[in-house]
Amino acid sequence: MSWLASALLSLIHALYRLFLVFKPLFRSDTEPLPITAERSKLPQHLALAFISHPEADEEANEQYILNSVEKVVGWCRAAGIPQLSVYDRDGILARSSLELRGRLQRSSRKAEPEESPVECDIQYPLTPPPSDDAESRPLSPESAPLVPKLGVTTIHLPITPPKTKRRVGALKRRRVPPKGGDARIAPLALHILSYQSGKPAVAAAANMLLHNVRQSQSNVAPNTWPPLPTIQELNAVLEDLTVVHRRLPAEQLSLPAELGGFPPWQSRLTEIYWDCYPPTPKSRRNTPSTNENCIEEAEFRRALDEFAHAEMRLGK
Amino acid sequence: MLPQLISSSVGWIRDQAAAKAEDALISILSAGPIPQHVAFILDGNRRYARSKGIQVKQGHTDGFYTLRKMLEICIKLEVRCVSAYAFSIENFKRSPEEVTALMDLAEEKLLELCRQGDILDKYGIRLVVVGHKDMLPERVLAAAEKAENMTKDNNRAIFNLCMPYTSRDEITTAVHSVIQSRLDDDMDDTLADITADEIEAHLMTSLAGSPPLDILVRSSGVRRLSDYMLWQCSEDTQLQFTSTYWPEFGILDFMPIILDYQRKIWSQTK
Repeated sequence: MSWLASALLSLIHALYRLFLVFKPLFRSDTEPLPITAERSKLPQHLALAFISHPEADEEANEQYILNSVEKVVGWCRAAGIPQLSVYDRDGILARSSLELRGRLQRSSRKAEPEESPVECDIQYPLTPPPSDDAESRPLSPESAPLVPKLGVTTIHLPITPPKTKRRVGALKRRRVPPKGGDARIAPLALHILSYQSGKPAVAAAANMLLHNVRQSQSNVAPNTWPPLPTIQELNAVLEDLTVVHRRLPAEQLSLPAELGGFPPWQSRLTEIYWDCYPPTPKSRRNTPSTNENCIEEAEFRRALDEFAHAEMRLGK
Repeated sequence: MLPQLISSSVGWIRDQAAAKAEDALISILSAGPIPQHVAFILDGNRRYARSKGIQVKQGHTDGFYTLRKMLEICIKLEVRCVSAYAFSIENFKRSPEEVTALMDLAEEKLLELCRQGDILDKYGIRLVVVGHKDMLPERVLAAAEKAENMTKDNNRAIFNLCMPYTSRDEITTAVHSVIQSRLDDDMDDTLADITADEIEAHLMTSLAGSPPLDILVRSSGVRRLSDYMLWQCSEDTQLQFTSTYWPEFGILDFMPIILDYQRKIWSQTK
């Protein structure tokens, strides 16, 4: 009878597949609100997790992710979201942080050309990405507590070029305020995460706490229990996030969301959004820029709309 | 008298037919890959109660019977481990009346579950209460310990009843436990760093022998993890969010979840 069960299961799967193919057609295709629309609630910290297709071309994948981050940074700044974390498991973003920085700098200049008119042709060298504060070490290994390696690179936008030495006779530069106050684009802290920022970071925090406990143990009398690390110490090291999840490639029939190693500690109260429907022909026609090389703006706007409607009860 | 007899006979026939159909569906689904560990966030009991115009307490009771029903379905499908988020540490913030009602329900149902012939005994399920147990009232803790002791030799499946639980508390406890074991080990004077795998091995679900989490299901339409199994579901776990309130969740809601899992496994083996 197992052959009968297998045959019936295949039939059920065939019907389910048809259902998944036609389901998007029955979705009410209400246009999501514009990015800058007034919403009852906006995430203060939005996260974008890229879950790559394992068979996708590596370079195409990289460009897709970088293009998407560039777009999402602009959208977040337009919406007034002050923090954005971007994640990919394999560390593509972490390795490409310099290139990403350059792109964001160029995008920023295009968006706000009046911001800093340059009256001479001094070329500012690209500033290296800010070093991860967690990489610092005390001068003496016996002294201050260690700071854990959290595997996070942060870029603050707008990116301010470094001051250079003024050449003799060079003009003193004045920053000209942008014209039209309502066109200002908000600043943004962009955090670049990889798998190392998740479970390995919790392990790093544990090592920090073990070191601290051992240090303090040397200062207490024998037979005294060592002070155990508290939950507040872990909280102080790691922060909450909101997640938008993009799955590649779009032609795949919808599958449930998976977090792909996204930092677990931060997901506690995170509203999880993923676009489980591939873009319909109608939605592609309605979208001004149907760019297949990056995330679609409509998905971002839908995520903000859903977040605005989410009800947080916090256990009550 | 006769109409009542006919009505109850029709009802009995309908229930028998539904049970047979359910068993048939379970047999068909079992012909494909089955997840080893499924976790449920039992959300929506209160909204369900409000929608039906019944008391919240009844909503929670109906939710318990749904949990029991789903546990049975999972066991018949040969799911090796079922976890359920029954009570969060944060839920202590609810009104004292509701918390008391929930603790009363927990005590009553824990004792009911470990009765001879009941579901744990019938299917050889080992009950493990996962969470910050010292926050439970004495009577509930006693019932939990009784249920755990009575089922400790069962080995067909594991039922993790998470109460009161938060994932951050579980992770912190695991970190504490690893650190304490390093401190206790006098020979270990440095040097090997604590790893993520070591922390994972000290999680309460790991200590109970739970396999890796394959699917996490949350009912009632909410798309959050709410501090449940954050570590366990961060990799290779399908997240399923269904709009059905938990007391109304059944095999027809569960079927597409199993089908999605099977699609994933088959796509990985191509």
